[in-house]
Amino acid sequence: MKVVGQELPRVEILEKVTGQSVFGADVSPAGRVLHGKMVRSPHPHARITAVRTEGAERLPGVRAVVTAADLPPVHYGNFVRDEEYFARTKVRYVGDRIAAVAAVDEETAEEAARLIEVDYQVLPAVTSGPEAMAPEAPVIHEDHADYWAQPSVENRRGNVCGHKQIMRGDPERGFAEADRIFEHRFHVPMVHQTYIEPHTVLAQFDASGKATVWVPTQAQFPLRAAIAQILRMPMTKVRVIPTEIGGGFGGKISPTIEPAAVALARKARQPVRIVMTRGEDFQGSNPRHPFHLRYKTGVRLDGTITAREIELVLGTGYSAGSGVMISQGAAVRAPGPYRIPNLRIDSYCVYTNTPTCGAYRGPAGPQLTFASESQIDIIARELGIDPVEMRLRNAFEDGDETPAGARLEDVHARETLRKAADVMNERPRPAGENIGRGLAVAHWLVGGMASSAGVKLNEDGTIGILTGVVDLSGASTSLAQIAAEVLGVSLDDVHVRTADTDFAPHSTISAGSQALKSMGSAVLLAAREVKRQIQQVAADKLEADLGDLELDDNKVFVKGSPERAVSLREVGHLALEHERGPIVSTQSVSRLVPHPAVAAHAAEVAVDPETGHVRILRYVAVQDVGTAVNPLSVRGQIEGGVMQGLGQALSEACTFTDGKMDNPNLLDYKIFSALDAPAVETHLIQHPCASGPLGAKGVGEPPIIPPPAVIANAVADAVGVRIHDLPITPEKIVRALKARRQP
Amino acid sequence: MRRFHYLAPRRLDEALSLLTPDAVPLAGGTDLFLRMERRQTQPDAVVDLKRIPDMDRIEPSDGGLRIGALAPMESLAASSLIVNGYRALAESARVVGSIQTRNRATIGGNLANASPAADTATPLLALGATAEAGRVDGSRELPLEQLFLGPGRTALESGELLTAVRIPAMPGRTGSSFQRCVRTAMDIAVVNCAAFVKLDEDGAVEDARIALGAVGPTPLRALSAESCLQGRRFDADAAAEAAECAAHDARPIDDVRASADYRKDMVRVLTRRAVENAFQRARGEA
Repeated sequence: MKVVGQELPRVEILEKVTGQSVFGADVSPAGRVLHGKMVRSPHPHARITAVRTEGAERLPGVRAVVTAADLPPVHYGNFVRDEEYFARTKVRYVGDRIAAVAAVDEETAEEAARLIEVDYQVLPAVTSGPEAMAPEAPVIHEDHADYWAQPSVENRRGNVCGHKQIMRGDPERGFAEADRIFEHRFHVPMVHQTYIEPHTVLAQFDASGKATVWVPTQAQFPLRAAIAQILRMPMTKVRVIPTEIGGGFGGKISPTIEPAAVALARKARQPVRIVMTRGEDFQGSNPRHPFHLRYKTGVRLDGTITAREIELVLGTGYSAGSGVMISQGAAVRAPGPYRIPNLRIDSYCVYTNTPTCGAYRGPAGPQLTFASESQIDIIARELGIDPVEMRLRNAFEDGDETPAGARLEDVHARETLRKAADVMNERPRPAGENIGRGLAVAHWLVGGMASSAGVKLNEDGTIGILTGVVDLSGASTSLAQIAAEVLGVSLDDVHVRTADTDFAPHSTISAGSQALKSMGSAVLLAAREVKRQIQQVAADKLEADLGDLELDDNKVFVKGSPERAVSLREVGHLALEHERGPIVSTQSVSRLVPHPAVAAHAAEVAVDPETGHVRILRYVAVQDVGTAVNPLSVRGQIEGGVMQGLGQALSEACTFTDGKMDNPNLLDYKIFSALDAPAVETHLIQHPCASGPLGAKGVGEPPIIPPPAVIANAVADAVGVRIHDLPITPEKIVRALKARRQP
Repeated sequence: MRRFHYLAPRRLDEALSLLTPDAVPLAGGTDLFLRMERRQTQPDAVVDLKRIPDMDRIEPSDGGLRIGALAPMESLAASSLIVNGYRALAESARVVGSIQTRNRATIGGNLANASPAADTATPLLALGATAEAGRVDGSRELPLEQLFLGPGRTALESGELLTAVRIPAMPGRTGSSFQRCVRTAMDIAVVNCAAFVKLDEDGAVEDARIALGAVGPTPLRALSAESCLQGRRFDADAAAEAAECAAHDARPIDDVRASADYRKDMVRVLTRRAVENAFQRARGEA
């Protein structure tokens, strides 16, 4: 292949590095833009007895105030309709939406927000999943049994808004057959995406009553549907225009401030912009689910796993959001990339008085893998087996099934795992004490969602691609590479445009590692159809059989006689006169077969046993990526995922006191910076995957999944203490070392 | 952000006359702008000091050093006068924030901001620095210990400006060291510590100063640790005892960054390391 597989710079890179790209807050429409501000609950759980807006409305410069009274009584939610946009009777987390104001400037909007008076009757709150499951826990949604829910959402009761159980084989017999049984508990706190661009939106109403919404979103079509549903508007009266996006990582899928901006713009008859502060973003968006996990594993002395019993408690926040789906998916991936004949998995999705969590990159992945791969390491050490050997012995292969019964193909778990171990072992351990190595392996199941794309041949012989998929991390470049490959042109000859909901054919969301798989498959089909049309026109010109024509170097030629050729430019012109007309095709794909994508990482760390500080000396990331459409882009994805994963391993946690987040700022919520980042040794395992376009696999989620487990295992190897509770802070290491020294 | 007047005087006396109670001085802005953005400070006027010539100078003075309040961290870290004579200070300036921050953030701002965790405060305390406070009708000098009153509070009076820091001469057989614990590389200190020792001809401690940060409402001197070192020659026990004393001198609290217990432990570790390191340097070994 000439274009696919090449390390090419991104198609939009010049606009990005020269600052010309238009991000959410850069949009400037005609007309004076008002500043919008949300009014949010200071209490994690309270009954609302009164909301008074008169003071705010009287303030000079205020153009609109909206509350629940301005909105239709709509309950919404994709899985459980348990959410109301503005709180009506109760607030359920600190940050819950009470009202929104729009004013001529930011200061007036802030002042107006302060002038809105709310009377609360404060209720007891719960912020952790297990606490919320206790029989005496305050109930967050009293009447949630009455809410509409998808049929797959089972066993709702108390604060449990979904319980998925999976049974495979005979767990009881599996444990009876085991020589040893291990049981451990783990905890992973809520963490936040901390993209560089906080949530922002600009909404405008035109005379026909149509709303235009400019927003950095990963999911323009679902967002259009959600805004229309919440405001009870006809869907096509809402136009969502996706801007460039300053990072999403799953945090920019569910609606946050968009419906408020639309409601304000409608009432004020002026465009309204809302930009979240960082503190608001921490407390009012869609972070990663906190998990409490219990893993019980039966093994033979040779390391063969005979059974696993897993209990997962996911704290979803004040509404089910995507939590129910994620807890169901978590049940399927919880046993790890292993062939385990006997399983019992219980996955609970539980309401808590915290922000509703979202689908943060690799949802549930880091949490499950931290628990599962920590335990595999513990077991291997107890049994005196090499941890890599133990994993290889149990690794799943082609033909094995997921716990949900789906047959797996294109599995390269063993090769990926071996490669990570080999690369780490290429160099000896440095001399010195308190240095250790750790490894972990994980998988992600890459699905595919309904998508369509248009491809056309322009009259000058260049190619245009029309999609509705937002370019989060290089998708546009990879789509262009696929079309260029099929049509025999260079990347420069392909122009990709992401259009808005009014003009783009329906497209998948940019999430779950499946944007390229879904959209790439649609582009591939459309490009192949365009190729056929080009051949049709060229065949008449060259008086050759359609089947004998090949495309390369921007021309069509007869196989074996390259001098009998016609340029694509000529074909572009000829088509207009030809009976077939302009060359263009729009093609669609529906749900695609999921494929597994495996990542195996290894780290070498040095731990200061006195301060507990962990220094990463080496980090190896190996990933099974199918065909790497753009290896540069793939490696960038892997490095970025590793850095986010290391933050979760070592320093990140949203912590709460009395229901209020302690650290909603970047001073106290510590992400990895460039100064912390180790060099990442990336290696790609490339075997074309049958269910991906030109063999490509999804690559975005897998690299964020292993790091917490890798670091936990490396720290245990270095200083002999095992941390079961993320993040692995210096303080926890020091405490564990002290506890071990005590008799 | 509330509207404010931006004033950029070109002379110090002019600046001092503009420092009314509703005005705030601006140096690098790395702390001030954050506070203004969070509405914690809402001044009527911001007096930018950066156009005043020579306020960023680092120069020998009275055998010691005078550092203008506007000297940025990066200059402190790179100054041969500081690197050679006052190692602990150079070490602390080198780890404040990011490179971009270090090119903006000034020593005057770091001190006048009065954070208990200010990284340059502990080495300056250990090195025996004084603060120079200017006002329209003259200036006064006060020991740095007296500058800090509490988190965000200094002894500077209304109309007074921190104009410079003075550090006394460093004769032979002296050494200093700065140590700190952070959560990630770019962080404010969970604990920081600086130690200074001056040895006599026999290698016994003639003078010692140890300062701790982020373990009390202000950066503080660990006085019992200092007296524990008086007259002693260096050995592992001396450093360990000083470390134990320092842990008693510290008054840490639990917060989102670390527990009080961990901070006490880190005071022990960092004090021991700083004292050992300062000794080695005083003996010309490191």
